[in-house]
Amino acid sequence: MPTPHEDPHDRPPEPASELVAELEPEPDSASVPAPRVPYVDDRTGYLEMEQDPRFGALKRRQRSFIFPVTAAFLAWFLLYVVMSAYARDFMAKELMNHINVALVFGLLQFVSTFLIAWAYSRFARTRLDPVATELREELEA
Amino acid sequence: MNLSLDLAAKSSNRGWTFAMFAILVVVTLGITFWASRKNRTAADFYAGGRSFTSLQNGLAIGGDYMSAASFLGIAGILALSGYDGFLYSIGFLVAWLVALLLVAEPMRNSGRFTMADVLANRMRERPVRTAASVSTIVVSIFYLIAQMVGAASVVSLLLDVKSDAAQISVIAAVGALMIVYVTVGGMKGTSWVQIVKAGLLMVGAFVMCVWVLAKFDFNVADLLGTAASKSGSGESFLQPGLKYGATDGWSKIDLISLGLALVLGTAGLPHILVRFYTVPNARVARRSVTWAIGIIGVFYLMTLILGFGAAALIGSKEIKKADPSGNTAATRLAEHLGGGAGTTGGALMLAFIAAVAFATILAVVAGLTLASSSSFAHDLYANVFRKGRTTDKDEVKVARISALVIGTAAIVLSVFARELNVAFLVALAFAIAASANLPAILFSLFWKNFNTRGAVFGIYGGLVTSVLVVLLSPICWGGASDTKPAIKQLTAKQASDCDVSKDRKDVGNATALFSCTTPAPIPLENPGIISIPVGFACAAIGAMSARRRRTDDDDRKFAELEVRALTGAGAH
Repeated sequence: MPTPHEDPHDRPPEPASELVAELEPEPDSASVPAPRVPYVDDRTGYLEMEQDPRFGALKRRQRSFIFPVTAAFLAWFLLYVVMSAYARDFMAKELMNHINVALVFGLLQFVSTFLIAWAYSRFARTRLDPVATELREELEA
Repeated sequence: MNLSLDLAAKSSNRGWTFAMFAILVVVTLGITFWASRKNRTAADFYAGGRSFTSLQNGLAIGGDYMSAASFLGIAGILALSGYDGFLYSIGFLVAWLVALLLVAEPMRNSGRFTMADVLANRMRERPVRTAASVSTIVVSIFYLIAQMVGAASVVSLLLDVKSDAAQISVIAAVGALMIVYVTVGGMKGTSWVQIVKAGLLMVGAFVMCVWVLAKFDFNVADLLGTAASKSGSGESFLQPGLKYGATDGWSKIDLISLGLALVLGTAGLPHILVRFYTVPNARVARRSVTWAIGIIGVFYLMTLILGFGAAALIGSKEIKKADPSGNTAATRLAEHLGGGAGTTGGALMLAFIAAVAFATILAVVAGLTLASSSSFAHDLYANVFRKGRTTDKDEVKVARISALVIGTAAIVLSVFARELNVAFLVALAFAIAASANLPAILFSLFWKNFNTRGAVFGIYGGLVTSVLVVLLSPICWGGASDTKPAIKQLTAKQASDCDVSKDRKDVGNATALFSCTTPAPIPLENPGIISIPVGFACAAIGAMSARRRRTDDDDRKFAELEVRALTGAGAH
């Protein structure tokens, strides 16, 4: 691999070659698999894709799910831990037959984890994957 | 039971257990050599040819993740301290949502073999690869020492041999096996060992679980009630607080600190991160994490029943007598279910569960050795020392050699550490993963203004802070304080370990590493609550204080990373 300074993607942008890439696939992209270069280079169309409104929409859709849900389950988990530390009388309350609030709260953490995993998988499969596939195929065409 | 009968029972136990261990070793070595047939390219060695299915990888993730600490350890804490063991299980499980939602897919799409690949996409390679590799190797070595020293004490308990020589040979044997799995089998061999282990662990836990429940006519309330009454602690056995946060305010903060490290550490553990590369694409990576969540969740629910079952059927006092840490609760329970000590059924069950525990240890240490040697070869050797001018073949050769070196180092360190209380190293590994690795990964993936300086600051800042807090904690300084009340009466062993007289009243932690009588400057055993915010802050401050302004080139690299991470275009 070249040193960082010789790295192909450190070169200044080359709008001309980008245009070429738009018109036809880069001819020697197949003969240069460049497995060690993490980025192919501008001619792959990534930059243009990043500006594409469809990509922007996909990104917003993904983030409007993953960020709030992450905040929610972290808060829910922290609430559980904080209550285990500070609200012990409440956690010790027996609901029925040796089953107390702490046990139910703990089991609910399992339930919420399973539910979020299921909901995210469904969301990603139906709402993200089709768009992502379309964009990827476009890029790789 | 008279003495000769007792001895006969013990030696028959040992015979069965040895036989099961031997079968396990033969089977896993067979798998390893079978897997080694197709181990040619770097992608084969580091990522198992990226050919695992989601179920296979889900099982392998479970096998990589559910350590002996989480099987024997959590069952033991549950059996001795009741509910507080559950806190661990929940942290270990919820953590997987961080991996599922934020890390697994973009990581798979934008990286190749190691965690550092993701950072190197948009930063200067040499500093970020060096930092990521240092943190990977430190986390792995800490975790390895904890597992191997734990293995020595668990295996010698199971085989009932307690001599020093036996402990050293167990460490050496576990170490030698893990080196063979990794150097010969690469990721494919290691993954299959993990899959076999996860299968065994789930089957073993399930059988015991149903058996325990059957003893209580499937009446869970009855099980809970019996566990509480046989624990000696009554209803408080079923409530939080017997083990954690029992003394002053600091101990409660310590509990929260533990929870934070567990939930944020998982998605930064190097041996977990590399598992996402073993599947063909990000979708399979996602599905394998959902499988893993199912498997790990069910497993931790089962440990709840096993731990409470052990307390109910054997009694906490009995368990504590065999091993003060409770690590033998699960195996004692197995023996009890099989028919009790001295019966063939009991011996067989004990041997089976002991073999499962042994498989558990082997699979986890192999995963750790592989992750750290991959990082050494791919990050440090190929991209930092040789600046990318290597061949795949060369890199894999170095990976094999570094597996041998890291494995040997872990054996030697574990032999020296075997007398010390190293259980804290698992919590420390999680804390480093959460405070050093996670900020760098998340900011790299999601924050446009992040840069090389931020990644380097974040990784070293989180790493150093975690270790520093532990060096100032009651783990190292055991003097009595409000948080760690004095031990009322030191045993002869504690007194000699601490090198003080038996009537000292200022010892809070007799297994402290530096001094038993000096109180700790920071009364927290879990560094997370300090080190995680410091790690994130270092990464953010490092990034914002960079003198170099963001260039068009940086923007381009980030744009490419975003597109690749989300669409999977150009993924390896």
